[in-house]
Amino acid sequence: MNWINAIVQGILVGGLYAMYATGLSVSFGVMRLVNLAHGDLAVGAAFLASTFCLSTGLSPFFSVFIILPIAALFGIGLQLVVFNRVVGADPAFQIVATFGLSITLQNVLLQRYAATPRALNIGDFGNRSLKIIGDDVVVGWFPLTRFIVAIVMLVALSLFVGRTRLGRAFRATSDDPDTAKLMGINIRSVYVVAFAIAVTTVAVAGIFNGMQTQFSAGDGPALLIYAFEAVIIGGLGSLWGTLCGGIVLGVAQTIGAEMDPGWKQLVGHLVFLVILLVRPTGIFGREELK
Amino acid sequence: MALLEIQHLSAGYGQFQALFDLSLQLQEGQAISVIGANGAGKSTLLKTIAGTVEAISGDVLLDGISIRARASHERVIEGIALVPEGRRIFRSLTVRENLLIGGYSARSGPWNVDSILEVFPILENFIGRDADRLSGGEQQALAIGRALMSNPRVLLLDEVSLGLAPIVVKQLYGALPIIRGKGCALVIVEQDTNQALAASDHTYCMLEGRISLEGKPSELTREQISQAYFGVGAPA
Amino acid sequence: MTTTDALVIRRNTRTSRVAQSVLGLIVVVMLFVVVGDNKAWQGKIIDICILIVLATMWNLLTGYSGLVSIGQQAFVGLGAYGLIVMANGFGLNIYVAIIPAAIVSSILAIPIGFVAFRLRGGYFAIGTWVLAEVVRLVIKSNRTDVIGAGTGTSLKVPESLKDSRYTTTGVMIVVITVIAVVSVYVFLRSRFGLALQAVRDNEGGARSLGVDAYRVRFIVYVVASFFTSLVAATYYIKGLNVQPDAAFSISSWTAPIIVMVVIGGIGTIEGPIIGAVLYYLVRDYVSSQDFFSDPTFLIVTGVVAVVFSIFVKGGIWGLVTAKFPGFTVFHVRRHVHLDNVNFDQRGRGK
Repeated sequence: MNWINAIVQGILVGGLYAMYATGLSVSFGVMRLVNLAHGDLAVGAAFLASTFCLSTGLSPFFSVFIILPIAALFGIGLQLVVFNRVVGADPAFQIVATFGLSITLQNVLLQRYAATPRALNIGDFGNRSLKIIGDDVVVGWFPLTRFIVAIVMLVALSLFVGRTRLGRAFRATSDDPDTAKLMGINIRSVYVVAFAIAVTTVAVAGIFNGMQTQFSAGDGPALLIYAFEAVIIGGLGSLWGTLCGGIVLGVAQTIGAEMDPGWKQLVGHLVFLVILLVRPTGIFGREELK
Repeated sequence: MALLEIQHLSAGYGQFQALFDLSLQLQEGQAISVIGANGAGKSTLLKTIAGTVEAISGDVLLDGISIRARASHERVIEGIALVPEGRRIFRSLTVRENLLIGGYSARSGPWNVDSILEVFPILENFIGRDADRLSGGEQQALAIGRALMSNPRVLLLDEVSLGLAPIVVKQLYGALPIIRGKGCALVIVEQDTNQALAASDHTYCMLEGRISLEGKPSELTREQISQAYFGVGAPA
Repeated sequence: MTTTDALVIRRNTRTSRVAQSVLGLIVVVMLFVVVGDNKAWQGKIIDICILIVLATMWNLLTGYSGLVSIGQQAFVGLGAYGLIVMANGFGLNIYVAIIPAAIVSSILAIPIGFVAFRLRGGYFAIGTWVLAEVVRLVIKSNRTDVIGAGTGTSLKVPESLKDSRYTTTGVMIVVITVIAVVSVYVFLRSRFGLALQAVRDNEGGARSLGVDAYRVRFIVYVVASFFTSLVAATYYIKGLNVQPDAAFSISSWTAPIIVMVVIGGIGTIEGPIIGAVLYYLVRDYVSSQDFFSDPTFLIVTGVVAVVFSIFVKGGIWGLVTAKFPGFTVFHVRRHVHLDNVNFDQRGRGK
């Protein structure tokens, strides 16, 4: 059993999980919205990318740039039509609405694409790898690229939230939406941008996931759970906490898989539960789970 | 024409009505105070002006134009700024960022971070720090500064003295003439009457959602004010 | 003021008493059908009753306690496997077995709930889902023979009970349904139920009055899990075949239950019942038609859930009570009466 390699692979997968988690973190942070359809959006993006690649013959990496604006527009539309009406309302209705959306999306994908799994073809790139420590620790070029994309995404978001005028508005709205209005901030617009960011990031995550793994219409819930666990483990209110959470989850899973292939998800869940019991605010958590 | 006019305003929270047929005026360059006991409806009045509470009937006019249909963030752009009760500082922003966010609406005028630090020099020491480290008085100064960043024409101050030591209150009120001097009209809401009366040209006393007395502070007797404040001795 | 003009505080109105009698009649009719020998109808009644209980329990959690759980499928699966263990494993009579199965399940609800309660709102919801997944994975990877080594197993029915299975199950489930609904009704009218609703409406306020919000909610969670497992076990007496992925499936169990309650009306006792019956009838009709495939039905289901949760928050029952204020079958609140005039005619509201 190669523990070091497992850990390294786990860290790299953690980047993917952090990408999933980012959108959930942003939409919860800014508007206290937990979107149960979050994972399904990632799967939807992967399917769209697949359709694009099959019809144009272009590489999936290129599709990211096409899907991104589509995802943003979809996020804007969804927020305007559905979510702006459930933000701030009784959480039960918010949860039911996003749950209904999840069921709808999953089955629309099922209807359109049937139950057969698909994958995005990145050709030989998926096979190339870098030897770190002889033959024991081998890092694939693709997982490394994916990890770097995750870091870039988090850095960009961090700079946006920390340094820009709109980013400040995000933080103010997150702290106190009523007082944010008094600053001249149109919080509905803030919500729309926040959600657009959430959908865009999760779309990228979904496409990158599809480049290495097969995906099918019903995969959404599993991805939602990874995103959720990464957020909780890392702690609410912290983007770098989300990266940390993703990494911890990834490592837990790969170690679990090393022990027994059927234990991959279970070990991840168990680590999540332990953190929840022992330190519910997460490793870097700043906020209470309200 | 008055800068800000409230006409027969009724407002409240759901089933609970807090303001009944209220009328008052604020002239350009003027400072008015609204005093009254706890629960009289003073805060509700300010919130209705700022747009966070919806009016049931009546109107709010700025420069003679009704702003009743405008959302609160739009009213900031029009030049109305509220310093909310309880300060409501943004805790995850630094002092500087709190000021900057106050200027989100990007209205032009004399106020910016530097000119605000001149009026409230105490904030200079904490400028890069998280705002929730400040004391009550410092937070209040920050809240006022933050509201000024939108270069308002009308500044609404909701119970600025609440929970603060008298000497701190005095310092804060000391800034008001400077603010007025730069062209901002004030509406000062207070439970503590002394400072408010001293700082304003005209005063309104509220009782149970209505105006029980109004006039120039210098022309009103203590007894008149006391009766209007507490509602004793008033005819049924 | 004369002494005959007394103000009286009443719980029920005449309309509610009439409506309750009508329901009682319906129960009697159901029992008649169930002791007959029309297997198709017996099956329908059994399914509808199970859905009514599941919906009522989910509503108890969501509408009355503010606990939006999407992990109730955990208790469905636990009820199913509890039945298998008690009946196949310990050799208990298949009907008797549902009780210990449900008891074990609700004992497990304690640690499950303890973990879930660390979270709130939307995160609580996902948390319950994760916990359901954990239970599913644990059972699936279990290598014991009784459980079927993760691939599924069937309930062993002794020869003597085979013919009467549908009848006995039918009678049992109708009785359980009545008990469940009446229990919820009685519970909500009790001091405990009052505390629960106070917590739902204003937790801070309730706490300041001395209500232990955590304990109140926790008890409800465990009770709901008990009934959920009880009827789930009953379902598998009829269905016989238990597969881990199906028994713990969120799309087969939780999704329909949520939609039922939302359509019927969250936060009322009548709502889930209406929603369950309506949902069953529609699905029954739809599955007999060819043009409506499964995914299509689920798409419509999902859209309906979204639309209702935004625009028709009170559900169908909410629409009814808006049209006929004061009409309630199961009165949970008290009303002030002057002679026969009812002052509290505001209708239900959330």
